[in-house]
Amino acid sequence: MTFLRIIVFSVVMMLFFQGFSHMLPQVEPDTSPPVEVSTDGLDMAGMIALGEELFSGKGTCTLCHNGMGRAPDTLEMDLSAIFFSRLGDARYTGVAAGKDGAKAVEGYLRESMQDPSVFVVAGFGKKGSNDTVSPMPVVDAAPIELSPVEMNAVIAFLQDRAAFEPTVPLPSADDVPVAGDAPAVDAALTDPVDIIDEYGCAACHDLNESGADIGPLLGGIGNRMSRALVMEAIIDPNAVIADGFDADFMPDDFGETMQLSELIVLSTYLMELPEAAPVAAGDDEGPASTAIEVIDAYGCGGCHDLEGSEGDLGPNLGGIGARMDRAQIKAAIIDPEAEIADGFEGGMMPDDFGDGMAESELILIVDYLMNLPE
Amino acid sequence: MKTSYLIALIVVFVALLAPEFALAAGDEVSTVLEGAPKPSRLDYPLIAGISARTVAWSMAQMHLFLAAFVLAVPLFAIATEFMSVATGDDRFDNMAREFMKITMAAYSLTALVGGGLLLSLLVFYPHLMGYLIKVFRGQMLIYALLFGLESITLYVYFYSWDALRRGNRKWFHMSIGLLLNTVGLTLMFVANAWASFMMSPAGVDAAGAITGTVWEATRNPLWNPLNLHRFLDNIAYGGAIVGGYAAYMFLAEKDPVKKAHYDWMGYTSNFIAILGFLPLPFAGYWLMAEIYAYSQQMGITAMGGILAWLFIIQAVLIGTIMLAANYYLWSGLMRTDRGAQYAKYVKYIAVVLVGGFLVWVTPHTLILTANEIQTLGGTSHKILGPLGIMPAKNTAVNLMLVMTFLSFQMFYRSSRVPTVSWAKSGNMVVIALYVVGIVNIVGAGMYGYITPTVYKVGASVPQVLSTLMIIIGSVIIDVFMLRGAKAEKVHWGRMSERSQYALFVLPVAFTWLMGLMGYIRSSLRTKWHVYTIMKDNSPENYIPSLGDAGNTITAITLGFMAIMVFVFWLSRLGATKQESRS
Amino acid sequence: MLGNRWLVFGVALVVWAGIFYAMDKSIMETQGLPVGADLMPL
Repeated sequence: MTFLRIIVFSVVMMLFFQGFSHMLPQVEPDTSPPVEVSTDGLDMAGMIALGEELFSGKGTCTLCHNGMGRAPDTLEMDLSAIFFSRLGDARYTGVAAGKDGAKAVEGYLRESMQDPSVFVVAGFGKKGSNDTVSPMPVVDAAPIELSPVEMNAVIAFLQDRAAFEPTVPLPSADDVPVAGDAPAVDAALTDPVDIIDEYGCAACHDLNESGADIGPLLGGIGNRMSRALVMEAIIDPNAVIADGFDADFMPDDFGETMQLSELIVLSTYLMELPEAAPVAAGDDEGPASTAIEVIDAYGCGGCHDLEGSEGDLGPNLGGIGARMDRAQIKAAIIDPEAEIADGFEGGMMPDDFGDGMAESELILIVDYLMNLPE
Repeated sequence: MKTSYLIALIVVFVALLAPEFALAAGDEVSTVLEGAPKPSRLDYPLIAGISARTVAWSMAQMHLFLAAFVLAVPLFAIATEFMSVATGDDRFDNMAREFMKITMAAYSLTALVGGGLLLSLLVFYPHLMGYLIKVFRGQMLIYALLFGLESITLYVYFYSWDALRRGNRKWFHMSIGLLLNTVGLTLMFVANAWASFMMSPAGVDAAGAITGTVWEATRNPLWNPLNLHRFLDNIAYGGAIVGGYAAYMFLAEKDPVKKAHYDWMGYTSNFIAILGFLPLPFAGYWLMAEIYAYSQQMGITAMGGILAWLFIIQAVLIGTIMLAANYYLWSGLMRTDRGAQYAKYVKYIAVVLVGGFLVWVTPHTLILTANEIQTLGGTSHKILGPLGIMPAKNTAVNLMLVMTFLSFQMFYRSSRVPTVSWAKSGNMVVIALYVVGIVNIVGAGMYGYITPTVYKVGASVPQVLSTLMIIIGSVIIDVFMLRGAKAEKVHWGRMSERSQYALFVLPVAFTWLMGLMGYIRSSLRTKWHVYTIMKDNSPENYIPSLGDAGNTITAITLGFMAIMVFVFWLSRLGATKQESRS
Repeated sequence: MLGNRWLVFGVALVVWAGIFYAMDKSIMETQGLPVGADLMPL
């Protein structure tokens, strides 16, 4: 009996510790197999973005370069002024000593990463070394192991922050691929099909065999555009609008929401997309005759969760009939900017449905929405 | 008797040479410069979908638990044996023998699990093991040899106990014990060399090619901090486990004489556990400082990175251990009639302990959503935020240590009435020491709080020294003040049943805590088998989340507890006799 | 021995404080950190 009590007591205590370990925030590990992404065709904007990701990700720079006083808080400083004072510092005798300009900054930064002790900012040296030995690890050696391209990307990022035109060379096909290292919080997708699903591209473009035709056909785009342009078109869709399509249709925040490795994977995929078979002419028939056809034709499901599309870029419309009347719903379709639901942004939903949709289609879709269950 | 002398002499001879052999094995430098192997993901054997890491992890942790126990107990067995010689009190001798009896039953299990660990490593991580064997060359064989030697000395030490009990023979017996401990510690140091080599490799170049001697690989930057930390931890751990045994026997026995014996054994074990435990934070501090010095990256991964949350659990576990140990000491005041007059201070000590515990648990930075940050006005709370940083935590832990020592001192004094004329004044000096020491600890904490980061680290040194000063100073004064003191009768066995549960808290929390620290120590290497030298490309090269680790640790702890119950049962079985035929 | 124990207490306080202060001072100075008047960086 005593024995049993002790066992129960001990086990309960263990379970308490175990439960406690579950109560704390869990850092979910990235268990996906490592992927390597070719940086071939990356333009300077891409390099800067890659550098930014490396700075807080694989490069682990922000472990020390933060506000905690371990190392200069690089991201909070006025870099253009700082670089000027560093290169002119009497104690600095490295490759860029006494020089000026973006190229000198490039040399200074590369040197700092490969041989941190050449110049230690006053107060940040190893204890007892009188600022002659840097506590910083060499960046292109283990355990950080940045490749030359990755170091260039970090340099480009820092040059850009100092308002210099980056001077580093763009990567070529011969360069070692970049490891698709994702930040631990949100693992990057590595399969282009998943990426297209995640960001809802197929709702408008004919991708993943969706057959959608709201956005331009992308088959054979590799023959028409460079990779840099494709990436730019994803990040900043309104810069160039294809003939016959309208601006402001495609979300313009993929630059923030998409991870860089995903952008690279996606652009690689698109560059290799084969030319699509010509669409049978005369396929474009008159107005749709059911609400589901309307949803398909106008790609509503790309952003709203309709017909099981699970889109979440736009508000959930389930039970909308209980909250709005017919006129309000119709107005929200024709002029979506008039009122934006809490937690969503304006400028996302096309505002030309008033012109493009037939009145019969409008009635169908409003009917459908009025009766949509919660 | 002649044979046992002979065996013992041979053992003495070989064992004295053993450490040198082990640490400097095969000291010729290899001529072929070949880097560490680079296995790809597919090179790792997949066997029937078994999680290789979980198997190796469980085996390693289980082996470590058992080994820590088996190595620690002889250490305080011999100290207790020495006490019996010094005081002429046979009770100590009996207890030391009983300590060893439990160890004997656990020993073969240690070897068994060790074999399982080796097997699982060879099967699942052949490249890593191949590389380590190459780096440490002959040392592995010598390790096996030492293990044999450990077995021999252990058996001789235990079975010759009664034969070599009196007179000069006792000293001979104690020499065997000393040898046993020498061999045991050497074994641990060798094993630590491999573990620390994986964290901070030395004697190899950047590609992993062997450039140095075995001794250089052994003497890597983290070896000695790890040695000290594990040495102290083993003592605390061994004490805690034996305390659990004594508590169980106390509860199970009905005979008041035996109850008194086990109460006393539990008290002694708890004392040993606290003795090992008090300096542990400082050894841990040294280990952490060396990790930072070796690789700032590794240090930040531990303290400020993805593993930072783990230290909250560590704080909870250590707090649990401290509260349980203190509770046990307070309950012990019941054993003397004088104890009651100290009981009124217990509540104040409890307040400080709980307060310190809460400060310790306050997290530094929180991983929050943007919304939560807005509500809170920053990543840390305005008023409670300062409690999250290091100076506050250092202050808390030092105060907790001081209070734990105070509990012990009160208990110690409860059975002694000072007879020296200056007792009252002496007492005042001790109180003044406590007051000034505590003020200094708090003051240094505040100094650390208002100064930049570098100073914070600097300010923790006076805090640690203040704690040590209080402990050492009052021990010295007490020694003089209690000289010739009138001993009060201690009623061993006059203990509540509830207090015994505090003795169960210690081993359970300790085992779990050691499992947790094993998880963090291994995780520090991140995606490396041997840090910066040999990449871990296995499918399970990631750091498991805290919850997953908690599940594994709980499972291993349960397994270990089951083994311990078996071991206790065995040693009880050995003492059970059927009645002889009449 | 000593008559008033509160007197002993007071003296002990001062003496201990002196010892602790000397200890702090030497530790902080060997680490190159400020003590005493220039302790406050504010």
